[in-house]
Amino acid sequence: MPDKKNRFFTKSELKQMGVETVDRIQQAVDAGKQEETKKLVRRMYREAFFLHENYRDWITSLLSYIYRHNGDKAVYEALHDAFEQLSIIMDTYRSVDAGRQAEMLAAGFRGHLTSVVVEEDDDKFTVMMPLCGSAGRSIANKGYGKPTNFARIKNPQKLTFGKHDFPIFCAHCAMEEIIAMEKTGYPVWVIDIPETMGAGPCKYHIYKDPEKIPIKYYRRYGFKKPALKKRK
Amino acid sequence: MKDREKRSFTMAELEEMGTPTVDLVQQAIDAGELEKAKKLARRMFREFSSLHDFWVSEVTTLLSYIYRHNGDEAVFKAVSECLEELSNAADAYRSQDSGRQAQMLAAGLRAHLTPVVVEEDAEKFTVMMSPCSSGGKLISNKKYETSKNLAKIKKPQRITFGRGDFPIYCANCAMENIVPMEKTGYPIWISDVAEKLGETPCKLHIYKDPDKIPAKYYERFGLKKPAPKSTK
Repeated sequence: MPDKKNRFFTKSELKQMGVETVDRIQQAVDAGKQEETKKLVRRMYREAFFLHENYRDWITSLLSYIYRHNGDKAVYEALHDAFEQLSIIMDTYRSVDAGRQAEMLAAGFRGHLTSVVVEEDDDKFTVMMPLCGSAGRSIANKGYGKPTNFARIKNPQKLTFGKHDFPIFCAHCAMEEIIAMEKTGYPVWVIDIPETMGAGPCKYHIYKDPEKIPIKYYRRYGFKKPALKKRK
Repeated sequence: MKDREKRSFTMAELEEMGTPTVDLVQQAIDAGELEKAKKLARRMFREFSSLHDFWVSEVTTLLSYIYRHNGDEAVFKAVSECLEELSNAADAYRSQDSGRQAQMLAAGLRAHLTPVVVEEDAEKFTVMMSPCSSGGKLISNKKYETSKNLAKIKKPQRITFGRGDFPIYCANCAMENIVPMEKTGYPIWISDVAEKLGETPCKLHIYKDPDKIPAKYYERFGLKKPAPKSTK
Protein backbone atom coordinates (compact mmCIF):
# COMPACT_ATOMS: atom_id res chain seq x y z
CA MET A 1 0.00 0.00 0.00
CA PRO A 2 1.26 3.53 -0.75
CA ASP A 3 2.43 5.49 2.29
CA LYS A 4 0.21 8.55 1.84
CA LYS A 5 -3.06 9.60 0.20
CA ASN A 6 -3.04 10.44 -3.49
CA ARG A 7 -0.03 8.20 -4.04
CA PHE A 8 0.28 5.37 -6.55
CA PHE A 9 3.47 3.85 -5.14
CA THR A 10 5.21 3.19 -1.84
CA LYS A 11 8.69 4.65 -1.21
CA SER A 12 10.12 1.21 -1.73
CA GLU A 13 8.37 0.73 -5.07
CA LEU A 14 9.64 4.11 -6.28
CA LYS A 15 13.17 3.19 -5.28
CA GLN A 16 12.95 -0.17 -7.01
CA MET A 17 11.71 1.52 -10.20
CA GLY A 18 14.96 3.44 -10.43
CA VAL A 19 17.40 0.60 -9.85
CA GLU A 20 19.32 -0.35 -12.98
CA THR A 21 18.05 -3.61 -14.41
CA VAL A 22 21.52 -5.13 -14.45
CA ASP A 23 21.70 -4.61 -10.68
CA ARG A 24 18.22 -6.06 -10.20
CA ILE A 25 19.40 -9.16 -12.08
CA GLN A 26 22.40 -9.58 -9.78
CA GLN A 27 20.12 -9.20 -6.73
CA ALA A 28 17.59 -11.71 -8.07
CA VAL A 29 20.32 -14.28 -8.75
CA ASP A 30 21.73 -13.83 -5.25
CA ALA A 31 18.24 -14.26 -3.80
CA GLY A 32 17.84 -17.50 -5.80
CA LYS A 33 14.80 -16.15 -7.70
CA GLN A 34 15.29 -17.96 -10.98
CA GLU A 35 12.08 -16.98 -12.80
CA GLU A 36 12.34 -13.35 -11.70
CA THR A 37 15.92 -13.28 -12.95
CA LYS A 38 14.88 -14.51 -16.38
CA LYS A 39 12.10 -11.95 -16.51
CA LEU A 40 14.53 -9.16 -15.59
CA VAL A 41 17.01 -10.32 -18.25
CA ARG A 42 14.29 -10.05 -20.88
CA ARG A 43 13.38 -6.63 -19.50
CA MET A 44 16.96 -5.45 -19.86
CA TYR A 45 16.92 -6.67 -23.45
CA ARG A 46 13.67 -4.80 -24.17
CA GLU A 47 14.97 -1.59 -22.59
CA ALA A 48 18.16 -1.73 -24.66
CA PHE A 49 16.23 -2.66 -27.81
CA PHE A 50 13.89 0.30 -27.44
CA LEU A 51 16.75 2.77 -27.16
CA HIS A 52 18.79 1.02 -29.87
CA GLU A 53 16.01 1.50 -32.42
CA ASN A 54 15.52 5.11 -31.38
CA TYR A 55 19.17 6.07 -31.68
CA ARG A 56 19.58 4.28 -35.01
CA ASP A 57 16.54 6.07 -36.42
CA TRP A 58 17.70 9.35 -34.99
CA ILE A 59 21.08 9.00 -36.69
CA THR A 60 19.42 7.94 -39.95
CA SER A 61 17.10 10.93 -39.79
CA LEU A 62 19.98 13.37 -39.19
CA LEU A 63 22.01 11.87 -42.05
CA SER A 64 18.92 12.11 -44.28
CA TYR A 65 18.56 15.78 -43.33
CA ILE A 66 22.18 16.50 -44.18
CA TYR A 67 21.93 14.62 -47.48
CA ARG A 68 18.77 16.42 -48.58
CA HIS A 69 19.96 19.89 -47.59
CA ASN A 70 23.72 19.72 -48.14
CA GLY A 71 24.36 16.84 -50.55
CA ASP A 72 26.82 13.98 -51.01
CA LYS A 73 29.98 15.73 -49.92
CA ALA A 74 28.39 16.92 -46.69
CA VAL A 75 27.32 13.40 -45.74
CA TYR A 76 30.90 12.27 -46.26
CA GLU A 77 32.26 15.12 -44.11
CA ALA A 78 29.69 14.67 -41.34
CA LEU A 79 30.26 10.92 -41.13
CA HIS A 80 33.99 11.49 -41.19
CA ASP A 81 33.61 13.83 -38.19
CA ALA A 82 31.41 11.29 -36.40
CA PHE A 83 33.73 8.36 -36.98
CA GLU A 84 36.98 10.04 -36.04
CA GLN A 85 36.35 8.60 -32.58
CA LEU A 86 36.77 5.16 -34.17
CA SER A 87 40.51 5.63 -34.60
CA ILE A 88 40.95 5.14 -30.83
CA ILE A 89 38.96 1.90 -31.01
CA MET A 90 41.05 0.80 -33.98
CA ASP A 91 44.22 1.26 -31.91
CA THR A 92 42.76 -1.08 -29.30
CA TYR A 93 42.06 -3.67 -31.99
CA ARG A 94 45.59 -3.46 -33.31
CA SER A 95 47.05 -4.08 -29.86
CA VAL A 96 45.61 -7.63 -29.79
CA ASP A 97 45.83 -10.73 -32.04
CA ALA A 98 43.31 -11.49 -34.78
CA GLY A 99 41.42 -14.03 -32.65
CA ARG A 100 40.81 -11.43 -29.97
CA GLN A 101 39.88 -8.90 -32.66
CA ALA A 102 37.19 -11.30 -33.91
CA GLU A 103 35.87 -11.69 -30.36
CA MET A 104 35.76 -7.90 -29.96
CA LEU A 105 33.95 -7.42 -33.26
CA ALA A 106 31.41 -10.13 -32.39
CA ALA A 107 30.82 -8.41 -29.03
CA GLY A 108 30.28 -5.12 -30.85
CA PHE A 109 27.71 -6.76 -33.12
CA ARG A 110 25.97 -8.42 -30.20
CA GLY A 111 25.43 -4.87 -28.96
CA HIS A 112 22.94 -4.61 -31.85
CA LEU A 113 20.83 -7.24 -30.05
CA THR A 114 20.78 -9.82 -32.80
CA SER A 115 22.39 -13.16 -33.62
CA VAL A 116 25.93 -13.14 -34.96
CA VAL A 117 27.73 -15.73 -37.07
CA VAL A 118 31.49 -16.09 -36.73
CA GLU A 119 33.49 -18.21 -39.18
CA GLU A 120 37.18 -18.94 -39.33
CA ASP A 121 39.39 -20.24 -42.12
CA ASP A 122 43.17 -20.35 -42.48
CA ASP A 123 43.48 -16.72 -43.53
CA LYS A 124 40.72 -14.85 -41.80
CA PHE A 125 37.71 -14.54 -39.52
CA THR A 126 34.35 -13.57 -40.98
CA VAL A 127 31.82 -11.96 -38.63
CA MET A 128 28.28 -11.16 -39.73
CA MET A 129 24.78 -10.42 -38.50
CA PRO A 130 22.38 -12.69 -40.45
CA LEU A 131 19.70 -10.10 -39.84
CA CYS A 132 21.65 -6.89 -39.48
CA GLY A 133 20.46 -5.36 -36.20
CA SER A 134 21.06 -1.78 -37.29
CA ALA A 135 20.37 -0.79 -40.90
CA GLY A 136 19.16 -4.23 -41.98
CA ARG A 137 16.34 -4.15 -39.42
CA SER A 138 15.48 -0.61 -40.47
CA ILE A 139 15.26 -1.69 -44.14
CA ALA A 140 13.14 -4.72 -43.18
CA ASN A 141 10.83 -2.44 -41.19
CA LYS A 142 10.34 -0.22 -44.28
CA GLY A 143 12.21 2.72 -42.75
CA TYR A 144 13.21 3.77 -46.26
CA GLY A 145 9.63 3.74 -47.51
CA LYS A 146 6.58 5.78 -46.57
CA PRO A 147 5.85 7.32 -44.14
CA THR A 148 9.37 7.45 -42.62
CA ASN A 149 11.22 8.06 -45.87
CA PHE A 150 14.83 7.85 -44.73
CA ALA A 151 17.11 8.91 -47.56
CA ARG A 152 18.94 6.67 -50.00
CA ILE A 153 22.12 8.03 -51.56
CA LYS A 154 21.36 8.20 -55.26
CA ASN A 155 24.77 8.38 -56.90
CA PRO A 156 27.40 5.63 -56.60
CA GLN A 157 30.39 6.82 -54.57
CA LYS A 158 32.95 5.72 -51.98
CA LEU A 159 30.41 5.71 -49.15
CA THR A 160 28.01 3.49 -51.09
CA PHE A 161 30.53 0.83 -52.12
CA GLY A 162 29.84 2.05 -55.66
CA LYS A 163 26.11 1.26 -55.50
CA HIS A 164 23.05 3.33 -56.48
CA ASP A 165 20.17 4.17 -54.13
CA PHE A 166 22.13 3.14 -51.09
CA PRO A 167 20.41 3.24 -47.64
CA ILE A 168 22.05 6.20 -45.93
CA PHE A 169 22.67 4.57 -42.55
CA CYS A 170 24.78 1.87 -44.27
CA ALA A 171 27.25 4.53 -45.44
CA HIS A 172 28.91 4.41 -42.03
CA CYS A 173 30.21 0.90 -42.82
CA ALA A 174 32.34 2.31 -45.64
CA MET A 175 33.50 5.13 -43.37
CA GLU A 176 34.67 2.57 -40.79
CA GLU A 177 37.09 1.20 -43.38
CA ILE A 178 38.11 4.61 -44.71
CA ILE A 179 38.98 6.06 -41.27
CA ALA A 180 41.14 3.05 -40.39
CA MET A 181 42.99 3.18 -43.71
CA GLU A 182 43.51 6.94 -43.51
CA LYS A 183 44.92 6.79 -40.00
CA THR A 184 47.19 3.78 -40.26
CA GLY A 185 47.37 2.72 -43.90
CA TYR A 186 45.37 -0.48 -43.54
CA PRO A 187 41.92 -1.50 -42.33
CA VAL A 188 41.13 -3.47 -39.18
CA TRP A 189 38.32 -5.25 -41.01
CA VAL A 190 37.09 -5.21 -44.59
CA ILE A 191 33.48 -5.55 -45.63
CA ASP A 192 31.72 -7.47 -48.40
CA ILE A 193 28.22 -6.09 -48.78
CA PRO A 194 25.35 -8.15 -50.28
CA GLU A 195 24.04 -7.54 -53.79
CA THR A 196 20.92 -5.91 -52.33
CA MET A 197 21.22 -4.22 -48.94
CA GLY A 198 19.01 -5.91 -46.37
CA ALA A 199 18.65 -9.06 -48.49
CA GLY A 200 21.66 -10.79 -46.96
CA PRO A 201 24.30 -10.16 -44.35
CA CYS A 202 27.29 -7.87 -44.79
CA LYS A 203 30.44 -9.91 -44.19
CA TYR A 204 33.20 -8.40 -42.08
CA HIS A 205 36.59 -10.04 -42.59
CA ILE A 206 39.50 -9.77 -40.18
CA TYR A 207 42.67 -11.10 -41.80
CA LYS A 208 45.08 -12.95 -39.52
CA ASP A 209 47.93 -11.41 -41.50
CA PRO A 210 47.02 -7.88 -42.71
CA GLU A 211 49.42 -8.36 -45.64
CA LYS A 212 46.97 -10.87 -47.04
CA ILE A 213 44.14 -8.33 -47.31
CA PRO A 214 43.34 -8.34 -51.06
CA ILE A 215 44.27 -5.17 -52.91
CA LYS A 216 40.67 -4.66 -54.15
CA TYR A 217 39.61 -3.53 -50.67
CA TYR A 218 42.03 -0.61 -50.89
CA ARG A 219 41.39 0.26 -54.51
CA ARG A 220 37.64 0.73 -54.09
CA TYR A 221 38.40 3.78 -51.95
CA GLY A 222 41.28 5.02 -54.06
CA PHE A 223 43.92 3.89 -51.53
CA LYS A 224 47.16 2.10 -52.30
CA LYS A 225 47.94 -1.10 -50.43
CA PRO A 226 50.88 -0.31 -48.15
CA ALA A 227 53.98 -2.40 -47.62
CA LEU A 228 53.34 -3.86 -44.18
CA LYS A 229 55.71 -5.12 -41.56
CA LYS A 230 55.42 -8.80 -40.91
CA ARG A 231 53.52 -9.38 -37.67
CA LYS A 232 55.18 -11.71 -35.24
CA MET B 1 40.13 -28.98 -29.16
CA LYS B 2 40.27 -26.99 -32.34
CA ASP B 3 38.95 -28.74 -35.40
CA ARG B 4 41.79 -27.88 -37.71
CA GLU B 5 45.26 -26.48 -37.60
CA LYS B 6 45.78 -22.73 -37.89
CA ARG B 7 42.47 -22.16 -36.08
CA SER B 8 42.08 -20.09 -32.95
CA PHE B 9 38.63 -21.39 -31.99
CA THR B 10 36.60 -24.60 -32.09
CA MET B 11 33.26 -24.63 -33.93
CA ALA B 12 31.47 -24.60 -30.57
CA GLU B 13 33.43 -21.55 -29.43
CA LEU B 14 32.58 -19.72 -32.66
CA GLU B 15 28.92 -20.59 -32.24
CA GLU B 16 28.85 -19.34 -28.66
CA MET B 17 30.57 -16.12 -29.76
CA GLY B 18 27.62 -15.45 -32.06
CA THR B 19 24.79 -16.26 -29.65
CA PRO B 20 22.97 -13.18 -28.33
CA THR B 21 24.00 -12.62 -24.73
CA VAL B 22 20.37 -12.49 -23.60
CA ASP B 23 20.02 -16.14 -24.71
CA LEU B 24 23.25 -17.17 -22.99
CA VAL B 25 22.05 -15.65 -19.71
CA GLN B 26 18.77 -17.56 -19.92
CA GLN B 27 20.65 -20.78 -20.67
CA ALA B 28 23.00 -20.24 -17.73
CA ILE B 29 20.06 -19.69 -15.38
CA ASP B 30 18.30 -22.83 -16.62
CA ALA B 31 21.53 -24.77 -16.13
CA GLY B 32 21.81 -23.45 -12.57
CA GLU B 33 25.11 -21.69 -13.41
CA LEU B 34 24.22 -18.59 -11.46
CA GLU B 35 27.63 -16.95 -11.23
CA LYS B 36 28.00 -17.37 -14.99
CA ALA B 37 24.54 -15.79 -15.43
CA LYS B 38 25.60 -12.76 -13.38
CA LYS B 39 28.77 -12.38 -15.39
CA LEU B 40 26.88 -12.64 -18.68
CA ALA B 41 24.31 -10.07 -17.53
CA ARG B 42 27.16 -7.64 -16.87
CA ARG B 43 28.58 -8.46 -20.31
CA MET B 44 25.21 -7.67 -21.89
CA PHE B 45 25.26 -4.34 -20.08
CA ARG B 46 28.75 -3.53 -21.40
CA GLU B 47 27.90 -4.55 -24.97
CA PHE B 48 25.03 -2.13 -25.16
CA SER B 49 26.79 0.54 -23.12
CA SER B 50 29.60 0.78 -25.69
CA LEU B 51 27.15 1.23 -28.54
CA HIS B 52 25.02 3.65 -26.53
CA ASP B 53 27.96 5.96 -25.85
CA PHE B 54 29.19 5.76 -29.44
CA TRP B 55 25.76 6.65 -30.80
CA VAL B 56 25.24 9.52 -28.33
CA SER B 57 28.50 10.93 -29.61
CA GLU B 58 27.51 10.31 -33.25
CA VAL B 59 24.15 12.05 -32.81
CA THR B 60 25.91 15.02 -31.21
CA THR B 61 28.47 15.24 -34.01
CA LEU B 62 25.78 15.16 -36.71
CA LEU B 63 23.72 17.82 -34.91
CA SER B 64 26.87 19.92 -34.57
CA TYR B 65 27.53 19.57 -38.30
CA ILE B 66 24.03 20.82 -39.08
CA TYR B 67 24.41 23.70 -36.62
CA ARG B 68 27.72 24.86 -38.07
CA HIS B 69 26.66 24.59 -41.70
CA ASN B 70 22.95 25.39 -41.59
CA GLY B 71 22.35 27.34 -38.38
CA ASP B 72 19.82 27.52 -35.55
CA GLU B 73 16.63 27.01 -37.53
CA ALA B 74 18.02 23.94 -39.26
CA VAL B 75 18.86 22.31 -35.91
CA PHE B 76 15.32 22.96 -34.73
CA LYS B 77 13.89 21.42 -37.89
CA ALA B 78 16.26 18.42 -37.89
CA VAL B 79 15.60 17.58 -34.23
CA SER B 80 11.89 18.07 -34.79
CA GLU B 81 11.97 15.54 -37.67
CA CYS B 82 13.87 13.06 -35.50
CA LEU B 83 11.32 13.26 -32.71
CA GLU B 84 8.14 13.33 -34.83
CA GLU B 85 7.35 9.84 -33.58
CA LEU B 86 6.89 11.28 -30.10
CA SER B 87 3.38 12.31 -31.02
CA ASN B 88 2.60 8.57 -31.31
CA ALA B 89 4.31 7.99 -27.97
CA ALA B 90 2.08 10.69 -26.51
CA ASP B 91 -0.97 8.61 -27.43
CA ALA B 92 0.58 5.49 -25.88
CA TYR B 93 1.31 7.40 -22.66
CA ARG B 94 -2.11 9.00 -22.47
CA SER B 95 -3.87 5.67 -22.77
CA GLN B 96 -2.39 4.90 -19.32
CA ASP B 97 -2.84 6.47 -15.89
CA SER B 98 -0.05 8.71 -14.63
CA GLY B 99 1.42 5.98 -12.41
CA ARG B 100 1.95 3.75 -15.42
CA GLN B 101 3.29 6.75 -17.36
CA ALA B 102 5.93 7.24 -14.64
CA GLN B 103 6.87 3.56 -14.90
CA MET B 104 7.18 3.86 -18.68
CA LEU B 105 9.36 6.95 -18.41
CA ALA B 106 11.56 5.31 -15.77
CA ALA B 107 12.01 2.29 -18.08
CA GLY B 108 12.97 4.60 -20.95
CA LEU B 109 15.56 6.34 -18.80
CA ARG B 110 16.92 3.06 -17.37
CA ALA B 111 17.70 2.12 -20.98
CA HIS B 112 20.42 4.78 -20.77
CA LEU B 113 22.13 2.36 -18.35
CA THR B 114 22.24 4.60 -15.34
CA PRO B 115 20.42 4.76 -12.00
CA VAL B 116 17.10 6.58 -12.07
CA VAL B 117 15.38 8.38 -9.23
CA VAL B 118 11.59 8.44 -9.12
CA GLU B 119 9.72 10.69 -6.70
CA GLU B 120 6.01 11.16 -6.16
CA ASP B 121 4.03 13.92 -4.46
CA ALA B 122 0.32 14.63 -4.42
CA GLU B 123 0.37 16.32 -7.83
CA LYS B 124 3.10 14.74 -9.88
CA PHE B 125 5.87 12.25 -10.49
CA THR B 126 9.46 13.41 -10.95
CA VAL B 127 11.81 11.10 -12.81
CA MET B 128 15.50 11.80 -13.28
CA MET B 129 18.71 10.09 -14.33
CA SER B 130 21.30 10.45 -11.63
CA PRO B 131 23.71 11.00 -13.32
CA CYS B 132 22.42 11.64 -16.86
CA SER B 133 24.28 9.17 -19.04
CA SER B 134 23.54 10.78 -22.41
CA GLY B 135 23.87 14.56 -22.62
CA GLY B 136 25.09 14.84 -19.04
CA LYS B 137 27.86 12.30 -19.55
CA LEU B 138 29.16 14.17 -22.59
CA ILE B 139 29.40 17.29 -20.44
CA SER B 140 30.94 15.66 -17.37
CA ASN B 141 33.47 13.89 -19.60
CA LYS B 142 34.35 17.31 -21.07
CA LYS B 143 33.60 16.14 -24.62
CA TYR B 144 32.49 19.61 -25.68
CA GLU B 145 35.90 20.94 -24.69
CA THR B 146 38.06 18.11 -26.03
CA SER B 147 36.34 17.35 -29.36
CA LYS B 148 36.39 19.96 -32.09
CA ASN B 149 33.33 18.29 -33.61
CA LEU B 150 30.84 18.95 -30.78
CA ALA B 151 29.00 22.27 -30.71
CA LYS B 152 27.18 24.37 -28.16
CA ILE B 153 24.26 26.48 -29.37
CA LYS B 154 25.32 30.06 -28.84
CA LYS B 155 22.07 32.03 -28.84
CA PRO B 156 19.26 31.49 -26.32
CA GLN B 157 16.19 30.01 -28.03
CA ARG B 158 13.35 27.53 -27.56
CA ILE B 159 15.46 24.38 -27.86
CA THR B 160 17.99 25.73 -25.36
CA PHE B 161 15.34 26.50 -22.73
CA GLY B 162 16.32 30.14 -23.26
CA ARG B 163 19.98 29.62 -22.34
CA GLY B 164 23.12 30.64 -24.19
CA ASP B 165 26.03 28.27 -24.98
CA PHE B 166 23.79 25.27 -24.63
CA PRO B 167 25.22 21.76 -25.26
CA ILE B 168 23.63 20.72 -28.54
CA TYR B 169 22.71 17.16 -27.57
CA CYS B 170 20.52 18.51 -24.75
CA ALA B 171 18.34 20.30 -27.31
CA ASN B 172 16.45 17.02 -27.73
CA CYS B 173 15.04 17.43 -24.21
CA ALA B 174 13.34 20.68 -25.15
CA MET B 175 12.02 19.12 -28.35
CA GLU B 176 10.57 16.21 -26.34
CA ASN B 177 8.42 18.83 -24.61
CA ILE B 178 7.62 20.84 -27.74
CA VAL B 179 6.57 18.05 -30.18
CA PRO B 180 3.70 16.63 -28.07
CA MET B 181 2.56 20.13 -27.10
CA GLU B 182 2.39 21.26 -30.70
CA LYS B 183 0.78 18.06 -31.95
CA THR B 184 -1.62 17.34 -29.11
CA GLY B 185 -1.84 20.50 -27.01
CA TYR B 186 -0.25 18.91 -23.92
CA PRO B 187 3.23 17.69 -23.08
CA ILE B 188 3.78 14.06 -22.02
CA TRP B 189 6.29 15.22 -19.47
CA ILE B 190 7.90 18.55 -18.78
CA SER B 191 11.57 19.12 -18.13
CA ASP B 192 13.24 21.26 -15.51
CA VAL B 193 16.78 21.57 -16.80
CA ALA B 194 19.57 21.44 -14.26
CA GLU B 195 21.08 24.75 -13.24
CA LYS B 196 24.49 23.31 -14.02
CA LEU B 197 24.09 20.78 -16.84
CA GLY B 198 26.16 17.65 -16.31
CA GLU B 199 26.54 18.31 -12.59
CA THR B 200 23.03 17.85 -11.28
CA PRO B 201 20.13 15.93 -12.86
CA CYS B 202 17.47 17.35 -15.13
CA LYS B 203 14.01 16.65 -13.70
CA LEU B 204 11.18 15.28 -15.81
CA HIS B 205 7.71 15.80 -14.31
CA ILE B 206 4.53 13.92 -15.13
CA TYR B 207 1.47 15.65 -13.67
CA LYS B 208 -1.31 13.41 -12.43
CA ASP B 209 -3.80 15.95 -13.76
CA PRO B 210 -2.50 17.59 -16.97
CA ASP B 211 -4.62 20.65 -16.22
CA LYS B 212 -2.37 21.34 -13.25
CA ILE B 213 0.75 21.74 -15.40
CA PRO B 214 1.90 25.32 -14.67
CA ALA B 215 1.47 27.78 -17.54
CA LYS B 216 5.19 28.67 -17.44
CA TYR B 217 6.05 25.32 -19.04
CA TYR B 218 4.02 26.30 -22.11
CA GLU B 219 5.01 29.93 -22.17
CA ARG B 220 8.77 29.23 -22.27
CA PHE B 221 8.22 27.67 -25.71
CA GLY B 222 5.91 30.45 -26.88
CA LEU B 223 2.85 28.23 -26.46
CA LYS B 224 -0.40 28.88 -24.62
CA LYS B 225 -1.73 26.58 -21.94
CA PRO B 226 -4.94 24.99 -23.27
CA ALA B 227 -8.27 25.45 -21.55
CA PRO B 228 -8.76 22.88 -18.76
CA LYS B 229 -10.35 19.61 -19.79
CA SER B 230 -12.12 17.18 -17.57
CA THR B 231 -9.99 14.12 -16.85
CA LYS B 232 -12.98 12.08 -15.77
